[in-house]
Amino acid sequence: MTDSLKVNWVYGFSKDIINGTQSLTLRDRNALFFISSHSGVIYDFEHRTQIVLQGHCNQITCCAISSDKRWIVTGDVGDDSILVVWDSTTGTPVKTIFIPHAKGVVAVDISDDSMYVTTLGETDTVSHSL
Amino acid sequence: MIVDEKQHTVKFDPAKLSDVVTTGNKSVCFWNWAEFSLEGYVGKITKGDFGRISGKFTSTIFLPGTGNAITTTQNGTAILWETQFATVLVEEAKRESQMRSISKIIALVDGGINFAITSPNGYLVIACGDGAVRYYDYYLRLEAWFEDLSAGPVTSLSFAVQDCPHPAAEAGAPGLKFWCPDFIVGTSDAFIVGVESFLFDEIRPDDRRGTLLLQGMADFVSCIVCHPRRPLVTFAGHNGTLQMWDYDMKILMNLREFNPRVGAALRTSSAASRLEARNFLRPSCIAFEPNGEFLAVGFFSGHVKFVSIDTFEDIASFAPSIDSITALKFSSSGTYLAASDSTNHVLLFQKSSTADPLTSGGELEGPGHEYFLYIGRSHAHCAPVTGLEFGMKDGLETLISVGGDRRCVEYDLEVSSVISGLMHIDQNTPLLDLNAVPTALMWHPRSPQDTEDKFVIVNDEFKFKQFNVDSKICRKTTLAPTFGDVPNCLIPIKSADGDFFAYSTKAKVIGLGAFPLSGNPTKAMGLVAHSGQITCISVTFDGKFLLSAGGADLSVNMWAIDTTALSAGRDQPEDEMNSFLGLLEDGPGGALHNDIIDYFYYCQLRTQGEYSMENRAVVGAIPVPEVASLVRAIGFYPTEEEVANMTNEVRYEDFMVSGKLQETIDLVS
Repeated sequence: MTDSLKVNWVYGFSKDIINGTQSLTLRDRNALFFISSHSGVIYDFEHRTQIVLQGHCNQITCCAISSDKRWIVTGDVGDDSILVVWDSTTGTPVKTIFIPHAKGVVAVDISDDSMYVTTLGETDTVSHSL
Repeated sequence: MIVDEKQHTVKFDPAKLSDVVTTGNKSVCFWNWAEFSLEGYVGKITKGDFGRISGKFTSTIFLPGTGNAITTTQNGTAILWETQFATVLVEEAKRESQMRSISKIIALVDGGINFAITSPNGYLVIACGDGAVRYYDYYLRLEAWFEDLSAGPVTSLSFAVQDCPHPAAEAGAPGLKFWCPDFIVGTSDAFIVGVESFLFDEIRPDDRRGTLLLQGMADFVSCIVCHPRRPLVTFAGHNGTLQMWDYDMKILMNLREFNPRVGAALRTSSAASRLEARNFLRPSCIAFEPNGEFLAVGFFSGHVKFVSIDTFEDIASFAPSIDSITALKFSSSGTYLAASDSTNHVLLFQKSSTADPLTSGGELEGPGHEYFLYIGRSHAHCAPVTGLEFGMKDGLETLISVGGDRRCVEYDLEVSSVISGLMHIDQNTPLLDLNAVPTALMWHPRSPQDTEDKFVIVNDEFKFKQFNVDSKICRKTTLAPTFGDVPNCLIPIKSADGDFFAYSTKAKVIGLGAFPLSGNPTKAMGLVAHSGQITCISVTFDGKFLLSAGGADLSVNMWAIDTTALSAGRDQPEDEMNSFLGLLEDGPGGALHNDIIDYFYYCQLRTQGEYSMENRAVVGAIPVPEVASLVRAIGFYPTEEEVANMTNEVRYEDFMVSGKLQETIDLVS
């Protein structure tokens, strides 16, 4: 029944999130990633197509991209907050962590070798995960 | 370890994975997590240093390879943290000397610095509040700058993965050309711009602007509306802009700013600019004329403007009200435009071929030079107008409004004129409902077998009520979709599969439902479209897409409509009954269901005489007046008015089709 309405396109992006827009451009691909409300969008600006990353229930507050542009990490704040790692070529969620911090994730960073993700939660504690 | 101040950013040291730094508004913490335990210390700021630092800390990053860190502030200063490497023998003192402390405080730029990142080839890149991007080496010497982007304060900066095509200077080393990978810049004016490093060498400022990759909405989206014939959609932004997009090609076709000069003045706060602020035009609702030739725009200041589609230039302008316009609707012939405002008035404009020099606001282009006349306004409601629709009654156009005062008012379009103003048909309009407040209105789609014109309202008790347009009698009451809050917007959709409707609630949920309205929960669906408030929805002219505007989350989502799940199995009455039985506690065959069947048979006994000694016939039906007793038996105690409504709905169910009143009701129908 939920297939009755499927996302086709997202207009507008959350412009005020620091580093909410990231480049995904590689040798063979011209794309960028932006946050729009509770969805992330992988926008191929050369072919004008979008892959919408849905799953968060609240406004996405932070994102990070690995240095090889392969992984996108997004986190949100609020009830049922989650931290998700997405594959940037297909848009499939690779790893989901439910309620990584009590109230949500305020900031996130991924290490250069894409092995570690560090998250900053709403209650001042820093945590690491692989 | 808990830190006193709330931190807002976190960054890894790219060279040394075990080091992490977090930044708060006034403090910086360095963390180390070797051996799975997290330890950290707050970067020490001495009193002397504190005096030189003003403004909040915006970000801190490590400079790879040096072990140092740089903190940027909102006032444009950079603070360099260095470890003091001293040869100390005592273990404890050695550890303390490896903690970072402030070594330099430098004022880098005049405007604020939003954040800093390091480029892959050794530069420190500063994203500034004045819209510039500046490159420094690790000794904070300026190497390159991009100051002509003209896109607004920079909030995002990110590099592409690219190899340098020619030998370029290392950061800090003189001689060879500057190079950096292509990067994208996101700004708080809602632009995403792609910049290439050769632009630094361009001479003319116009050539140094970069390529616009994406334009978003810079402010709250107040309304969206789709063109009646072409694949175009228009967004109205709270900052006084209109954007028109082609949703097939995904291109921005047209953009208009209603207040180009005032925008800059508003940043200061003087009395003169506050006066101008009252005349600041912020569009609150828009409507396309049915032939798609022009657009009507209503503003928060009470103005109503007609603008052309191609250029968004004003064709006509009116100021009928001083309160914000809350809805705008054109009649299907395009002759009338109705509007409602926030002080519960309903306004009417009419297209005519003669101008009235007193009231007409302007001339419309087109054959025969037509004019729009402001007819007048009516204050028939004493609570906000929640629904305003034009529809057909006996082949003629009519206008209906419903409001929070539970009244439904019909306006006499024939009699209304410039001289008499907006007149309403003086019916002793009964209240639509005693308690429930109508929240949205739509016209019921007319199928060939229908003999009466009906409109549908949804009220805050989650009920759809269908009313006859002539007599305003309720024909049917059914359950509205209960996914989320009460629907506050209803749009009928006509498709090859049949008639459907789209609805949205105040926050989060939008959905679809199918006609005929039966209250069957499997004939409706809902999903979470936005994380917060939903300001408006619109359906495209071909019924293929539904667009929803999220208001403060600055996004508009476009959804593809697929009605196969909703229209599947719509003609089987047994399945229909099962879906309703599924709504009962314990489902079909459960205690409540059996109780209802028992009471039904008891009703039959009662009507044939409870104490009679004769044989009783099991007729399988009870007379309509017994319905009231039946519902009271299962625990629902309706008022006398509700009893009258229920019995009338049952009696007249088939009246329009067969001409007969239904006097008995059985378990199936």
